[in-house]
Amino acid sequence: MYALPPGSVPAIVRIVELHFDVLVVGGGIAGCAAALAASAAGRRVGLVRAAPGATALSAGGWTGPLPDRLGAALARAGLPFAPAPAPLPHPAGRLDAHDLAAPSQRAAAPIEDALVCGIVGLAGFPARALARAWGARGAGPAGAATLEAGPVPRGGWSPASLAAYLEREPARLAEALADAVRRASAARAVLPAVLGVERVDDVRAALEAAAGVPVGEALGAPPSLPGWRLERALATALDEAGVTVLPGRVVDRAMEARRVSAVWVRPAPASGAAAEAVAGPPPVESVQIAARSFVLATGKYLAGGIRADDRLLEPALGCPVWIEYLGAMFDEADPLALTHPDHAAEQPLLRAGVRTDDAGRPVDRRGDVVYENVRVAGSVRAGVDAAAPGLGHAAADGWRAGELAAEDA
Amino acid sequence: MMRRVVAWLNLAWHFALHCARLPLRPLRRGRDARRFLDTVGPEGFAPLPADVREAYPSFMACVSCGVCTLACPVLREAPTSAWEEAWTFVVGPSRSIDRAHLLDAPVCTYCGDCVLACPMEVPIPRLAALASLGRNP
Ligand SMILES: Cc1cc2nc3c(=O)[nH]c(=O)nc-3n(C[C@H](O)[C@H](O)[C@H](O)COP(=O)(O)OP(=O)(O)OC[C@H]3O[C@@H](n4cnc5c(N)ncnc54)[C@H](O)[C@@H]3O)c2cc1C
Ligand code: SF4
Ligand code: SF4
Repeated sequence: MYALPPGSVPAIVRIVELHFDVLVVGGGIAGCAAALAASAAGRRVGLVRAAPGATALSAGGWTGPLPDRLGAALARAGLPFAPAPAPLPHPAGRLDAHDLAAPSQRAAAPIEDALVCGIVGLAGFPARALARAWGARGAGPAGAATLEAGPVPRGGWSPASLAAYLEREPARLAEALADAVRRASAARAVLPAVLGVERVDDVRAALEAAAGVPVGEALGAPPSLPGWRLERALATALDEAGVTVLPGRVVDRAMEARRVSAVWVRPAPASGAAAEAVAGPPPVESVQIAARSFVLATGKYLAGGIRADDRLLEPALGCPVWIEYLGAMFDEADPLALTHPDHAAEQPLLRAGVRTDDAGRPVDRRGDVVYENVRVAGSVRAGVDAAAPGLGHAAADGWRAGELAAEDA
Repeated sequence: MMRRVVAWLNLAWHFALHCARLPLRPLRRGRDARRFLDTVGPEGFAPLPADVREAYPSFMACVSCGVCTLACPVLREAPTSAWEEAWTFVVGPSRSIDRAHLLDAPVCTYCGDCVLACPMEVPIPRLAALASLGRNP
């Protein structure tokens, strides 16, 4: 038959002469902000990122401050954030208050007098039920309609395939939308967040030209296209700033005195051929990357910055993990003891993370600095709730960490 | 009482037959395998070899975030049935080990873009290969 090899292949170690002033570990909003800040301070910056994290899944609103230069970089990359005029509609039936939003989400608020539009063949956006749910939280939307976007593939649309289709072929949806808006005499139209994978401006322009009213997108549930667009815009901004991005996962560090001198990186698997896909990837080589200072911005559970096995650990640099529980701090707690069966109750596990001093350096149980040249930023920190909106807080935190790391270097 | 005795005798007889046939087994490998597959196949169970089962913990790390699907270049080219997309063929078989072959054959070209996007390092193209091969084990 066919054979898939057993899991672990022994890693071949290769020493690569890579040296940076500042090396950022983690490529979410915190890590990207840190890298941009350090590069704005004139440092040679590298960024290692394993994969998209919480940032790529974010729903499309921005909670917290936006550092000016980060905002400008995102705007140049096609994602200008600006204050949200009103709470933004979420496909779970909530209205979420965010400080800022991208144009396509801003156009969806306020929900009053809007026409809520579902799309035939797309699950997860029941227009009528959502209009009722959102209406129950404020003055109601003008109405609801379900529109045809094009030939529904067998098995239905997924957000990704519908968004890709609309980038090529917005005409049919535009026509149906114009008709529905006219009949409902609505002031705006709110659609699910599927108006293009990245070329959302073009798709919206086509729809608005036909409908004659602002056309906005609701927030996105994972897989969230707004989150994906933010991820892409950040990649553009890093590229523009000349940051070297290395796909891979930091698996260990080398130390000199109380400083990290280098990290070991397991590069991301290269793309494979069909045969290799069946047989599994070839052994991966680890590479060593040196830097004068480091930023740890590896996110929480989803991104792999904190792992909850039988104990909590921070796998990249091995920083102690702290958790506040019943007013005390534990670093050896059993993860299972830290969750509450009532999912609406406070979950201490979600706040576990790396504790830092005032300057963002990781500290141990006694409060002593563990690594003098490491700054910790974003949701990997203790006290930050992994599930709470907070792109802006992570970004501001990351920006500051990047500036401090640039001073260290 | 009598029925029990008959039942036990019947069992013993079939066990004796089974033992007597054992030396002939290598001769009828293919037929036995076919009969086994014909029985379990229609029920929706694809028997997996040991090495495939060993790979499953890495598949089961999937958190259903769907990012793999956003990264897939095949989807940019043509609309696709939601059942042929990366996160469907990952989430499906990673949750019900033996049902991979009930999925539609994925449109996967094994380019690997989704692997770079997956936060859980799920070897996605291997699942695609499994879903395709598993259809006719
Ligand atoms: C479903 C969801 C929706 C959300 N929606 C919103 C919203 O609408 N608005 C809002 O303001 N906030 C939202 N949030 C919260 C927000 O997404 C997070 O607060 C924020 O993204 C945290 O950013 P981060 O950079 O700290 O972590 P992440 O974005 O998780 O980034 C961590 C990065 O580190 C990398 N990494 C981890 N370990 C390693 C390693 N060992 N080596 C190399 N790289 C590593 C990961 O691959 C990833 O790139 C949402 C969160 C979730 C989960
Ligand atoms: S490997 Fe297959 S599923 Fe993954 S991105 Fe490429 S074509 Fe899509
Ligand atoms: S395979 Fe990876 S990217 Fe795809 S849904 Fe699962 S965890 Fe997410």
